[in-house]
Amino acid sequence: MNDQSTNSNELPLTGGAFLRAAADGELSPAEQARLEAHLAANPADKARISFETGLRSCCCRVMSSAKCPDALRNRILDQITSTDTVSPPATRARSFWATHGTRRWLGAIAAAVVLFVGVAFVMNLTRYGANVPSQAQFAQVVSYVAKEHRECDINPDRVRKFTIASIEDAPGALASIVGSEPTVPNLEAAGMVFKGAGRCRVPDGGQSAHLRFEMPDPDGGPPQRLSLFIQQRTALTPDLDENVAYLLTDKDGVSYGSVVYAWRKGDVLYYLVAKKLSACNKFRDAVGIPKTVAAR
Amino acid sequence: MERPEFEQLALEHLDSVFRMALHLARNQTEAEDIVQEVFARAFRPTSIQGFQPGEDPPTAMRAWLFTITHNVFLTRLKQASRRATPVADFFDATDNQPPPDEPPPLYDGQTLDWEQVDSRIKTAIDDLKPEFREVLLMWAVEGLKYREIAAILDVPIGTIMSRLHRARKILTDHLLQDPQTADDLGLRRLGNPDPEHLTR
Repeated sequence: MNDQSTNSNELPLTGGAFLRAAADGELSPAEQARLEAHLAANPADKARISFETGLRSCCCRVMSSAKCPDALRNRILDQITSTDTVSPPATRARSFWATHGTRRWLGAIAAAVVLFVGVAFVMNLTRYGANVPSQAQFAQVVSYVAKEHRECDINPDRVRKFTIASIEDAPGALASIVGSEPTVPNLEAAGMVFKGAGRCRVPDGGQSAHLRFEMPDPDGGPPQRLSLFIQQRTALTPDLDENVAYLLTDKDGVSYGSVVYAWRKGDVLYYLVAKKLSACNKFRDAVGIPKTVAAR
Repeated sequence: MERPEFEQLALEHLDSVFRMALHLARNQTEAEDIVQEVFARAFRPTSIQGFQPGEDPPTAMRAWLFTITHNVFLTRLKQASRRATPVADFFDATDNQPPPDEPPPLYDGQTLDWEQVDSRIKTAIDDLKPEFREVLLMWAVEGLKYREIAAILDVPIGTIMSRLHRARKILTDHLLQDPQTADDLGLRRLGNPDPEHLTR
């Protein structure tokens, strides 16, 4: 009667339990065949199954109306944010230099190499005429765009701001927000789907907007979401050179593990945010943002 | 699994966890406290490291959060010693009895007004014991299979089937207890329970 198959029941099903399991979609293929034979002989039992199905739908309607209140959602987001940025407890470790005899020289050599590479990198940027903005200039902006990107992933209320639903409408609508016509990429050919755009409040500058895209994960994982923030350039915005993309790494924990690129085109600043560098790079390739990258 | 990915996955189930907490506690403030505690536990570094995403990470995450919610609620129940809530019912994991044979009622589906039933049944659900509401929620709203609910609550499948049957019977009886109500709902019984014809 109860041959083991996809059915989760390890108990013999008879009578009412059999009909309820049928209504719940818990029968194995063999039991399903038995049910069909049974219903052919007892058509009235279809009504019993139908009642159980109706009762389940009814329970679903009645019980599913509760949603997590926004205040609680925000408390939990704050809780996560504070956990993310909490430093590990300080410990009193013995000095590296006092405890690692010969290895300290290796450490010194490694440090010298890093310093040399760093100087060479900065000189290289100088050759491009790149201005590398300070952390303080970027911290607030990076914190905002990364947090906004993440909250749009997890808080349905946040996406209500995306009032521009069509990529065709976006250039005109966004131009009215940021003053000059921004570059709004249509990336369908690259497999990226426009998910909406709307006004936002990137700090330290002029009017700003937030665009969302979704793309297949270049590494074969779940789809990746990207945010492109555009902001009107003002005297307060970070001072970016025009032919450089700036990679803003998560040195001080303000980007919530996201990768953030920033660049400028004319009087518009762009901030690209994604969880994965590979996703950002695919977007960069498709859009053609500056290839020269300065790390913050 | 990396922390940002873990957080995103977990927060997608915030509504589900809140619903379960609310239906267990039947009190908004207490439900919010439970949810906060659930996520505080879930986001501990050791919890993140120990989470097994399996082949279907969203499903695994939901089941894992439900288990934590269930345990947090039980812990709070035990701590609230002044309350006479039958904690033992929750731990009654040994009743692996065969599921009840009594067949579902036979009603005339043509006359039944489910929209009216919705409003009537809400009270009955609120009056259920928490262990019934918990199973009912996972079964009806979350669409979980018997074996998935059994794994979350760490009880035999027979217990889940038994609780579901009892919960459904209480709800149906509630609709029938007043003839006028039954009549208003168009709840017209066509036949009596007759388990014999189904027994093999």
